[in-house]
Amino acid sequence: MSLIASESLSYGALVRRRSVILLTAAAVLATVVIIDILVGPAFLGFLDVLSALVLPESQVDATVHVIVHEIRLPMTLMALLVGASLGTAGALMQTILGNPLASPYTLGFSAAAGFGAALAILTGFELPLIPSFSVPVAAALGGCMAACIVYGMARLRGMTSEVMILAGIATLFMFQSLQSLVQYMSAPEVLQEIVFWLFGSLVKATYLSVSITGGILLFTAALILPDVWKLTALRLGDERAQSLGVPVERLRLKIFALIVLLTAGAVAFVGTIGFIGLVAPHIARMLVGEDQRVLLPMSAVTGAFVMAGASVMSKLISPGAIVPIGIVTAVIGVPFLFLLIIRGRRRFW
Amino acid sequence: MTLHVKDLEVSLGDTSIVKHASLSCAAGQFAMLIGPNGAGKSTLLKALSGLLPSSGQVILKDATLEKTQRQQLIAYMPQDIGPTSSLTVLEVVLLGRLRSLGLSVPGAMADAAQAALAQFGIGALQGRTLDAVSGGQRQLVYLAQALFRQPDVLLLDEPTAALDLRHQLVVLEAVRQHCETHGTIAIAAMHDLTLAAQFADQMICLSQGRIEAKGLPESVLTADRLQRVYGVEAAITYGARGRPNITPLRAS
Repeated sequence: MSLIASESLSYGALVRRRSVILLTAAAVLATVVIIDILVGPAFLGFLDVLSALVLPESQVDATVHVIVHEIRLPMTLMALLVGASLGTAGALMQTILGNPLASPYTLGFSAAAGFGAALAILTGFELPLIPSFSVPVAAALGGCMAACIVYGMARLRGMTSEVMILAGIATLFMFQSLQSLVQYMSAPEVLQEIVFWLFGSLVKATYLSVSITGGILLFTAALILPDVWKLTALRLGDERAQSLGVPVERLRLKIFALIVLLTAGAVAFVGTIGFIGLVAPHIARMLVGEDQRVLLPMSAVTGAFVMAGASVMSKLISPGAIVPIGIVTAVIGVPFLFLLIIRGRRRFW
Repeated sequence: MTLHVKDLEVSLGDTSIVKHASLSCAAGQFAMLIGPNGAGKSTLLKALSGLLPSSGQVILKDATLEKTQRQQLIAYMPQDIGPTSSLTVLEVVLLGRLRSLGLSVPGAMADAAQAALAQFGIGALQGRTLDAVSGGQRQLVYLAQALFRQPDVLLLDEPTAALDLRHQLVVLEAVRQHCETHGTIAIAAMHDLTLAAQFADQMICLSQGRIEAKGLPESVLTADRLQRVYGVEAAITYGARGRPNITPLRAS
């Protein structure tokens, strides 16, 4: 039986089933999050971590407190938020462009963010009052630049999905080339720093960066909420959606801007994470279908799950060290996706 | 409620597709729009529904409708069956009342959507995904969506194109009944002239973007006009209620 629907199922039963799937996924995610906090290169015991989490600071060993509260917790929260942001951005992108291969990565946003970050590292660019935000801001600006190029092209030729995808792919190649050029021009020690950023890593997560990424996610969710049914209608094609009263071009532009914001908020602090925006929505779609009221939160949960799972893996691969998470995300997500493809008996796009 | 279209013109680039189209339909009337391929039938329907820019006036309930008002009051069903999707059949029908949908769907609304499917005999498909039903069934789903929407004017672009003989009759009968019951005005672009004539309260013949004739089917479907508009020599007999049956003999 398909997870999404079955012929005999009433609408009420279908809605209940999807809610159960969503809640189950959230429970699985919570478990992975707890494991992520427990695991780390410091080899802390389960009870040590637990007491650091629940007891006041004065009753906990200072080192343990610092490791749990200043390192692990921000990293785990960042993994959750970045995964949720990229999963949501990918689902939105695939919906507004009607294309299963669309994601912030395949449309060049992440490559452009990488170029912005690489350029900032190469030139030693520093913001006056907040120097620690120099690279994230440069990355976010890079992502926005890519979005402006894609949007500009689309404005010239109409906001159709075909034009946006073509412009996005061209932008991806352009910024990848520029990234390579910056790397080619860099001294070895600078190159090392650029490559580390491009791999994607959670180690620089702080409560401030967590708050910014979380704030952006909440802000965009609030703006998307009134349009969930219109987004669902887009899956019937532009003409049908328009005939149902959806202002297709305006909606596409609004959601496009929100995707840029979500992606910039996610990749600016952790680097290029390419896989989640593409695959999390597919996994979510296979589990709960295309009603955006459920698909969007499910994509967020799935993205967060893959990211948190990758975070656990990144700490287990090489004991005593943390492998950059961008390297691990695909290793976690692809087998899960393959399993769903093999076990599924129906089309999912 | 009467629909008046006055001097409607549609141009794509420098090409004029629909020229000075004027027509009127009374409440509850089922009109059939006929004409050869490329005559401008789909363009006229899209312009009426506000999907294409046009000049001229569309007047409903004595008020001239702007583009956005047209999109609200006039439902348009395109002829293609759209992209594949894993939305369920019932969800597709629910989208017909997009403006009334909130974060949760009231049980009564889901029941009404189910009833809209049942009138076409596809109630059992409600839980299936759209990509798991045939092209003909998908067309029935979209028709159920259009009727569920309860618009003032319903524009159907070749609604029977993908359907078997029985379902062609089921669909046109359902639209006619809907019009009679709710006072909805329906205009359907059709290629099967005999079938169209059987259900038409009014027939509108379009040729090269201009309205060539309008009126009762027996007055519009003449051998001479079929020759001129379609380039077809046809034999016309008259069946029940004096409605014409068209047998195409040869293309000239």
